[in-house]
Amino acid sequence: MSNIKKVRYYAGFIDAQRNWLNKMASKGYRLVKCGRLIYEFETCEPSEYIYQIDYIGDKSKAEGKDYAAFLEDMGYKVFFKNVNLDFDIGNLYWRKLADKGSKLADYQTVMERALLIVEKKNDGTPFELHTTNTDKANYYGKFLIPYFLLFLLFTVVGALSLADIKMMLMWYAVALVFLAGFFVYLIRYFRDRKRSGIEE
Amino acid sequence: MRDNVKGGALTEVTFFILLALYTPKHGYAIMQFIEETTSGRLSLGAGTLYGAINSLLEKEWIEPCGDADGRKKEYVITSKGKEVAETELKRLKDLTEIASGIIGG
Repeated sequence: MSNIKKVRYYAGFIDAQRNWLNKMASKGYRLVKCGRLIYEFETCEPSEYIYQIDYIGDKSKAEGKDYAAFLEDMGYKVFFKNVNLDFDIGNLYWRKLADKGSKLADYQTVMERALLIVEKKNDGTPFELHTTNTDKANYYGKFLIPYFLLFLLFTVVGALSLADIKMMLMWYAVALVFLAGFFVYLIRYFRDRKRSGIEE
Repeated sequence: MRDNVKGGALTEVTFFILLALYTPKHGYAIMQFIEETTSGRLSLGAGTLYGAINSLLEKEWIEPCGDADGRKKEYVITSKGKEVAETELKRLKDLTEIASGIIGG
């Protein structure tokens, strides 16, 4: 049976991407390749595999590779995935700004950093990469700055689109989504930090 | 991973990793060791384990071992790590003694 390809764009929304991959796996599709927007699947037994996604934007390239090798040693299969936020959204806008020597050029590095899609053979036990409360708090904490910067970025992009009200509202809507994401991670961060304090 | 070095109290995860590495093990074997010895009560995620191993490598409580040819990286406890583990064992013994004296048993 031939592979199927799907086009999806999840930006920084890791949970949604993971849930979709797990839904595909439950229908009997296993990830074999992923590009910027295209995910390629082959058929497998329904729920034969289970997926998690880790954010490694805080790691250098070498550290990211070392972590991926560690996960492979654990018996998992690993895919690098771009966060991909420069694609189509605001590409033109912030490239233009970057050319003007604006500090916004720094955003390229924030956005191009990778996610790791981790595949495990489903043995019926839950699949979590981060398990202690201290580690979970650290993990959620990593999202705070990128999400806040993205909120600011799209607010600025919105303000620059003042000439076109529709565009401006669209950028502001995107900015709000990232602000919401920021608060979601902020709440998780404080929740797990508090729990880790009780534990230790 | 916050280990109180002065007070000697280790986190459970740190102590279990140190114990696991009295014989050399790679990541997966450490995870299995912890699951088996705690009968599944403590199950570590790979990301958490990776962070814990790196922090212990940094403190030089554990070190990589074995030839580089083997694809899987193995780790083993250092003499510094053993000292820390022994101190923790003594602390826990004292604690259980005090507790037994009060609670009984």
